[in-house]
Amino acid sequence: MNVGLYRTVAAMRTNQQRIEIVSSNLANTETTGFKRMLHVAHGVEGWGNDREHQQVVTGTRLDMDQGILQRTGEDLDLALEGAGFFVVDGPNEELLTRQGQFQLSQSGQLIDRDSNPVQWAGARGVLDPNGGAIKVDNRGGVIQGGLPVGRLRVVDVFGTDPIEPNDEGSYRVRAGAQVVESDAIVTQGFIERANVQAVDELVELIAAQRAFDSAAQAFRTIDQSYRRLHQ
Amino acid sequence: MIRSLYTAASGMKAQQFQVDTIANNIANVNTSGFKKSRLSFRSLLYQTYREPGLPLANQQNDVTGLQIGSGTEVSGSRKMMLQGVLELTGNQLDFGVEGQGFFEIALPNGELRYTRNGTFRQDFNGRLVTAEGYLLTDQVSVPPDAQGISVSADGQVFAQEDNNVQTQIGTIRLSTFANATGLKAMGGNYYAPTVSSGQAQSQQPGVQGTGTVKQGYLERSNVETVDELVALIVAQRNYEVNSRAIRVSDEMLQQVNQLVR
Repeated sequence: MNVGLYRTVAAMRTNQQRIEIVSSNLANTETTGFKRMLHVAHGVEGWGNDREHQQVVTGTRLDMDQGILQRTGEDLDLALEGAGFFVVDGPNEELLTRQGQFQLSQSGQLIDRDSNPVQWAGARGVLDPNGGAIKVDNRGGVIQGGLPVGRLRVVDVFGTDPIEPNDEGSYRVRAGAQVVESDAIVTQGFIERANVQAVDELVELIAAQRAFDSAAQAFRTIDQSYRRLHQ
Repeated sequence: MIRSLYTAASGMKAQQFQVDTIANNIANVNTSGFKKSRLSFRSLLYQTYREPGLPLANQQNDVTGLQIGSGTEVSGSRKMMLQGVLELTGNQLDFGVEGQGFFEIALPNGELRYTRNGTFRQDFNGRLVTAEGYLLTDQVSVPPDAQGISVSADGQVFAQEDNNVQTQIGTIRLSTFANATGLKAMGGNYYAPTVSSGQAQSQQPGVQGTGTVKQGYLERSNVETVDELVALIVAQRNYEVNSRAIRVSDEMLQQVNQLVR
């Protein structure tokens, strides 16, 4: 049996997933702190051990490139410059996020938009909701009314694919990943835009479409040659 | 079959909301005390097809997993409580606030509302009311024989009488919130407190970040037309690229249909 037919199907499936990944990136061009997914195709899996019997499979990798910082002027909009994440206490576990649009709860806790408390390095700082202006320095140190309140926890993770995006726009740490303190720069009054470039995604979109077309054409050719064989 | 159709559609819907918000901001560019809104988006569920690190054939380990996102949604809108420019009007009943505070207004049904729009008038009793006739809760009645009123930065209201004597007739207090971006916009430039914003703290102007009252000034809207137009262009382009993704997905489906004739 000719494996070519199945291989063209695998190629079509891969390129279809490629388009799904690109669409998801394009849909999130306005999502603060969003990191695009990269499509990685590689030739593994198959029926035999030799190269001839391998077929292509799709993988994804997070592209953690820096997004553009956009000024908002809000005191509690914090953006990270460099590799690192803010840490929040999610409902079930610790979550990492680069979406630094925080708010102040009535009890003076710094919370994210899902009301998860933001973690501090050391003791949890408490701010006065009716106090003076809040300043955050480049190291994440929080100062209110001239008095230091504490420092926000900023971490980085290492390992193979150490983090996994969840459905709240933040990331879960995968088992086995190493969490260390980060020296990313905290910038107050800015948000980090998504690192999605429409041009790159459009090129990827067109490339995937053409590759899909070629695979479909190959499928038809193989199909026709079978047909001639049967006649 | 192809989820990119729905993924791209979610992106287009998000951009529609974005344009709606921008349009409202631009429409209010001349509304005194108006605060612009900003939408924030979040990415939707990622479907994990394959975890990274799974063993494959050939004694290899797969280092990359396969996770595909399913688009975006609007996670919420925020009022950007940035200070607007204070514009000199010269009207003695125009008050601008420089700082965080809001004027507290009582609706006829007793509910309280908060506003940055300091365009006040006098009613038949000399009381200060908004353009809609709602009372300022710190009741200030201007005596009928007053030549004029003057308001100090810390909110004390004085009436000027004939003989150049100034009598204090009240104090305008300002209200602050733990989280002013969490206020609910009620239309008519009024805000209502929510669980997210916290309760109003009525304070004397000038203390603890409340801000000062400036008589004869009005706070202009904090909408910058240029910023909004740039955001509008970006939204339109994003809408286009998302529709492009839908078209490509559609053409791929068409290809599949032509596979077997």
